[in-house]
Amino acid sequence: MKVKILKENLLKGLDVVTRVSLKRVSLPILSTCLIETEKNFLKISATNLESGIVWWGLAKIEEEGKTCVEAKFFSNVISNLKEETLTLQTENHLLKIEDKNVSLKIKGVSPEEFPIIPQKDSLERISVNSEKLCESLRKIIGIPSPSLGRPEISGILFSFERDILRLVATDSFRLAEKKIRLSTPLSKAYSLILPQSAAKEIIGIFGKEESEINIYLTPNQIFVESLARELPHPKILFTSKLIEGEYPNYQEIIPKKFKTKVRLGREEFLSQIKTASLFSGKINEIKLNIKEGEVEILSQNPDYGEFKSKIFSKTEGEGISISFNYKFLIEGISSFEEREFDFLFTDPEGPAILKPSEDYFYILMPIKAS
Amino acid sequence: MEKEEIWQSVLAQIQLMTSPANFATWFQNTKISSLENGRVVISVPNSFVKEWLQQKYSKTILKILKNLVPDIKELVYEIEKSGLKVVNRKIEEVAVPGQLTLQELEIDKKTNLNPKYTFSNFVVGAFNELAYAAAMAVVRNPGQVYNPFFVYGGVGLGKTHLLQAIGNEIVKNFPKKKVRYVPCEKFVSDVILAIKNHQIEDLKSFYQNFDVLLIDDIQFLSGKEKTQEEFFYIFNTLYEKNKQIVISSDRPPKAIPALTERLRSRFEGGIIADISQPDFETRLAILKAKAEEKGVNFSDEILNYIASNIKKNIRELEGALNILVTYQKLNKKSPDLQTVKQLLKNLISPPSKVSTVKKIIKAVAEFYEISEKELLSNSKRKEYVKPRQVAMYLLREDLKCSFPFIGRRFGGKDHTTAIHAYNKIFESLKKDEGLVEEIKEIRERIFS
Repeated sequence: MKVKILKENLLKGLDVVTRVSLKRVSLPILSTCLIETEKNFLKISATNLESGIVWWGLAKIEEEGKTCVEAKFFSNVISNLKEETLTLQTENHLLKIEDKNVSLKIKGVSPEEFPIIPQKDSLERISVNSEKLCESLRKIIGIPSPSLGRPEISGILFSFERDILRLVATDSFRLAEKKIRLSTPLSKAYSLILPQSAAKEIIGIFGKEESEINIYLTPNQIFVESLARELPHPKILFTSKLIEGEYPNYQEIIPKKFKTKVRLGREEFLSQIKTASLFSGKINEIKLNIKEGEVEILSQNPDYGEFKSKIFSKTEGEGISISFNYKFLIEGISSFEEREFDFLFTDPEGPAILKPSEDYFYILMPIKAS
Repeated sequence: MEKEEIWQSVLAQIQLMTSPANFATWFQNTKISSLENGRVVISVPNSFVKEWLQQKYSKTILKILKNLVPDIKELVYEIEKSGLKVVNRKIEEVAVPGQLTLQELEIDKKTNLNPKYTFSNFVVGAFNELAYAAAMAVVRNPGQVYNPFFVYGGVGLGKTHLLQAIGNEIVKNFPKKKVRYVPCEKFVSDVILAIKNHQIEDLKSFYQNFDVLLIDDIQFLSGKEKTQEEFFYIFNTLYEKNKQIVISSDRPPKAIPALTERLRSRFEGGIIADISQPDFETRLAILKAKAEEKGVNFSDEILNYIASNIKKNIRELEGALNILVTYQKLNKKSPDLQTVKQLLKNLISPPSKVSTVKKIIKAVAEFYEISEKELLSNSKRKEYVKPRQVAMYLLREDLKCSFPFIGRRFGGKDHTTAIHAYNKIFESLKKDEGLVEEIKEIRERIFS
């Protein structure tokens, strides 16, 4: 192999693929990346057998070939080089970079050992704006909790229906749903559960720049692909396994009737909750008293004292007194961008719902008042 | 040779040709899932393994297989579907005591059953033994005996638990049977939605597919004629095919107002069992069972106190226990009897059998979902007039208030208005069964 490529480009590719390559594993090949030529591209792949990433970068291919080198190590080496253009060459499995000033050889392993990353079949292409998708995922990514022993809710539900994609996450104390409108309606409805780690990768890989990305689904894998800006060729292809199982019928949880409704300013409420949280005891309890036209926030702790504050706001329905874990409240409200949101209550021991817009809601269960 | 044995022997040979790390990575959790007509299906845990085995090991595997079973011709890989399903689900301790969870997440999507309701945590006593015996017969031979099985009883006495336990038990005993639990309210709203979207045929065929249909709180069908019609159709289809139908209600079929005669007689065609209020011993047994379930221990003195003071409702028994559990977790010690009395003050208020003007007005307003102000206003709107008449009737009937007093209380009306209201309701009660039920429920609210 003999390839000329811009250092910046190569580095970008290595940045992306090293996200999934593992350090020190029983199977050493999983800590390497596969570097190979493909037509006018240099192609770099890495995988941890749960997910995989392939990156393509335009390069001047003078001689075809491939090799596998330790991914993190290779990336460190490249980022320290000063040259703008690099010439990569292979000799057996050895990867050589020789320039006026430097000459280095990196030990590689046989590319035949490298796992085969599953290929996307020709399936319906779902086109999504990368920024919208990643922003939406960011809002709910922190919710699932892997320790619940229930794999189906340890991931994020992607539910596609016509021109709407719903992203849902829950940890059984709270549940959030974010809707995204798709530019082209789909012919069928699809639903899948993506591992939380894969969702994090998607944010990391595709969240940096705005572009249209394509999603392809097979019964066991999801493929997410971004295209090169300059030409209709894939730039990054990310694939992950899916979580088997049926996501709970979460629509049933969404309360339909409410007793009390309050409209709150995000900043004001958030800062009051944060102050109140300093006074709350070890179960993180803070209490809200909603009366006509005002919301009272209370917390107390035998060691520190007690806190009480008031927010005047528009209220509807009966008064209610209800307690929450402040952490869950803060996490939910912090994910809102809107300046105001609706806070709706059903019962002191029933689900409450926070709603900043038509496209997003956050359901939270209270703490039993002590 | 058995499939397992064949695969073991393949693995044994491959092990010799690959590094231990490679072997562990690519052959872990693989197996032969079927072997028919020379076609071998190898089940693998994920797509990566599938691709790898397909491209790198197929020749070797096929060769070894052919040596073992000469007529094998074809090798296929499939990704195991159930790779991730956890069979024994552990319910983890909630991080924060008192933090409530979204219960509905536990519900099985196919059957709509909540796995927490089983017969093992269903306490049987004199108050429910007939219902229990019928349920046991039903789970042993679904659709063969007691069809439909109609169970009725008051709030919080375990009807839903019984229905769900029947469902869960049948799923366990007959995994192939399709079971569906549906609260009647949900069924009603489904029917309305289906009518709106012209999908009523889809809805019917959806329900006709089940082998066991459990309908909770059937009294919600009352007065909903179109839904009754659709339900009648579904009921008949299932019944004719010997599919088990289990129905619960808060009252016997005869007492469900505005229910068509043909449905009523269908409901009465199987077995009807009631659940009455549990006696003291049973209440105590329930408390002990629940405490054990929650892994807590309270003195007999405390449990006796709860059992003798909360009499009507099992759900309240559990509520009382929950309060004590929270207390114990927070304070790291069991409450003493004095503390218990304090904690449960709200649940166990001395039964006030006294009805007052205020209570009646409040209960009527709440029951008809209007505000007290609206109830006492002069508005002639239909939705206020009837509740107002009911309230006047109750004030006269239960408290023996004078008609002029009643008139004054309702926005300074004349006593003749009060007399008219009283007579109107009095007469209606003779023919309107629905109104009888309404008054009964309002009275229950007043005394609760």
